[in-house]
Amino acid sequence: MERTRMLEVAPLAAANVRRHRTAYLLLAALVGAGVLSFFAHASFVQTTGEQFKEWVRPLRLPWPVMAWGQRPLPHDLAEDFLQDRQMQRAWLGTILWVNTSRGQACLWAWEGEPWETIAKTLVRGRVPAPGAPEVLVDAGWADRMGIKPGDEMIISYLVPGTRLRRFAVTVVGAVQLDTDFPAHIFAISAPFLPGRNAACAYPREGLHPRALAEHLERRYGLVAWHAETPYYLADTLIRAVSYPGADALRLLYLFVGAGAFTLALLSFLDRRREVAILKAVGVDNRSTALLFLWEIGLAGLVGLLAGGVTAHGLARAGLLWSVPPWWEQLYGAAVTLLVLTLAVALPVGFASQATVNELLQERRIPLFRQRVVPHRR
Amino acid sequence: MAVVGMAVAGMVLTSSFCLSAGYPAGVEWVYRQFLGGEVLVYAGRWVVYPDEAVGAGQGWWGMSWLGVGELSHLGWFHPELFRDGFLRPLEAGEGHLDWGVLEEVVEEEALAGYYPCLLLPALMVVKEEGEVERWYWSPLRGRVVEVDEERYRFRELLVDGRVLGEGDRGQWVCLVDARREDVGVPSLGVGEEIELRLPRVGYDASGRPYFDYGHLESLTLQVVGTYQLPTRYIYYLDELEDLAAAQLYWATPEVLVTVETFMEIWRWLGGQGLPPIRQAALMVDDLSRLENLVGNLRRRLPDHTVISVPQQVRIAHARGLPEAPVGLPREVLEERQRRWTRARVQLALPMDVRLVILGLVYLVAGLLLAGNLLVMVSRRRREIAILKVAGAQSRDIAVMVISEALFLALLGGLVGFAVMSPMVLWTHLSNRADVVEVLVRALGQLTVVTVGFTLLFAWLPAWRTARLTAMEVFRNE
Repeated sequence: MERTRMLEVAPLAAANVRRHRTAYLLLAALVGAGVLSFFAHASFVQTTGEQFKEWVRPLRLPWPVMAWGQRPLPHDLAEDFLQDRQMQRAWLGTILWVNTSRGQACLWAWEGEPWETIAKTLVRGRVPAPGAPEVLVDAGWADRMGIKPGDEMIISYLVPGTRLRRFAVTVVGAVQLDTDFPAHIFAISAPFLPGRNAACAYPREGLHPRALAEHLERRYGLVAWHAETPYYLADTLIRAVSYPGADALRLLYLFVGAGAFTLALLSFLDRRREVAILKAVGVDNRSTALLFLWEIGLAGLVGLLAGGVTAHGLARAGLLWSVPPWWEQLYGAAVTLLVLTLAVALPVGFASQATVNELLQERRIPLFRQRVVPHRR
Repeated sequence: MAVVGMAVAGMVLTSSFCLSAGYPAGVEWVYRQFLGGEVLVYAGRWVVYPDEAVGAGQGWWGMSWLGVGELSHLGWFHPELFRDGFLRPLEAGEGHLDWGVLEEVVEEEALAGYYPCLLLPALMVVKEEGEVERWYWSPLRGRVVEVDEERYRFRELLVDGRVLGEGDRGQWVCLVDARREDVGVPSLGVGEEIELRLPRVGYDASGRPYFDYGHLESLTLQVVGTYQLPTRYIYYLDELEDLAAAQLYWATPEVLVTVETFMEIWRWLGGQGLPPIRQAALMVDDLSRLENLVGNLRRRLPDHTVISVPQQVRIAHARGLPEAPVGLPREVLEERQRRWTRARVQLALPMDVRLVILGLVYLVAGLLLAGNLLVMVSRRRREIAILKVAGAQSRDIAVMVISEALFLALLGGLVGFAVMSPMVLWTHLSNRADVVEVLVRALGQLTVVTVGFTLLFAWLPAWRTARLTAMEVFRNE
């Protein structure tokens, strides 16, 4: 029954849209502008994100996940770490910026398998003897600074408010570790270092390195990286770059809503007699509302299609960045329709609720305190 | 509706042309006094610019980290660069700022000058009873006396003693922050001596300087004055739900000496020529177009990071930096810190969508105007029919509708202009710019754009109305 009534109204609505085409053309243009802008913004974010990421290099680290904290890990957390089931294998070590007789440098101190990984990349000299004050250095840094195996080096670091800790070490070799993280000096974990503040880990089977990195950050307060960290960072950066576009879009939808409200009100005011006659011959409020909704819906649909086709055309002509994925397009259409529905609710409500008397006897619409029907001159 | 739409459009236009690119003369004054300029140039790249995100100047981007020895104020404003790392264009390099390039930029952009951030790593040693030594980071910074005195009125920041003067050039005297304790470094009074240890300067194979911490030289300076940087207030609701304010101070452990003393120390440590600089502040007289200038500078210095001091400070404030939050109640501090720590990722400058917004606002305001004209016209069909019967031509009717549209649009535009003008006035007056010229130019641009858009959008209702015939109207009555 209800479906029959909805379909019965449709041809009349289509005829009305044709008859009042100027106003509905404007409404369609507004909707089209909204869709086009949404499309343009989505296209910008997607394309710039993809383009930017094409130029981003993955992070090279010796282990799937590396983490670092500014302070040594408390004893209880260190215990928890070693028994954490999110990691297949994990080690604690030290990463520390130290002062050396060749400037400031990043010192890594590990034991066990991580140290073996470092030692395997030896290109000059020999591996330090366990327990001896000996270190390896990065080959590139050593070349730049003129450091040779056998050289003595003073290393110091400061915990503010205490005495400067200084110790002498001997450089016994150079390594070429494939990593982007600063790494100049490599030592086997030693008691003179302030504590273990770094970790390297392999995630348990089935766990993505990113998930493990997030876990390390959340559970242990460490800053964690993995090979794809630069891509996630790039995503964040693109969102930050493009967020004013979203603001512009919100502003636009505000105007689209205001415009749709005005045009729907126009449609109603312009046809007060027609509405009155329809009501006089027995058309109920619901059908009146349906009629207006059909009309606005048809115009909105035309606007959606026009906006979508224009956007696709612009994208194909190279004037927009790209075609956003279908779900983004669907989302844009849904948002636009929602704005349109909210904007026209009040005028449609007026049209459906007004009685024949009110429409013909120049009664006021209570909300606006103004005459629905103008004074006759 | 039409007037409101046009008023909003007028506001956006006025602010775009006259306001959003600049600041009042007194903006972030204390920070500028301390940093020594209005625009900061940092060596290396750590900010993503919008044009890079859309594909301009592509090249490989990779992760990078700053070491603790960074000789700039970046640690105060962007600790995430040291802790979390950042993406940077790998071609940009990581070198120091070039003194010659800075001089060129100042000359070609007609700037008032540049203020190099001369910093040397230094450790302050405090000897306590029983020969217990406590060491603290306390970098040495060179200040340009005449610029501090004449342009940045450093005297205003003085708490005790005196500022560095002409007679202090090359002397072993210094200024220190009166609030050093806020950042965990012992405070010093006027007349006291500060004992510093400075690393000697060495040069690597490529001739780049480095600091040799294996050889620390001892230096004693006398404190002749203390200063403080009262930067901003933080407002919060106290326990009684009353509005309370806490004055925040940007405290640093820096030891300020004259640039001449700094250079003597540099040479004494083994430095040759000019010291390396990782940060410089550019001095700008007129701040009303500061962000436009920053845009030009970014294009001129693609390997470095250029940011205006007001923008740098606002970004830092959003992260609860650079001041130590001393004086805030614990609950307020915890609540703020939850909010502040959210923004700790690398900085990317938002794209400039002023023109896009302007276009969109005018487009929709135009559509609103057209819609309202249609409403107006539909309610005056009889009037138009009578005019036609009385002999009015279609052209007369169209002119009438367009005139009304122009009136409404210009009225809206003027309302928007009037709303934004006081802010524009203040920005330009404080910078001693020619306010009349600025406002007249903005009004002219506003009028041209508004009239153009109105003619475009009023055409349809005017054409539709002009086509009406008297018979058509009366037949439908």
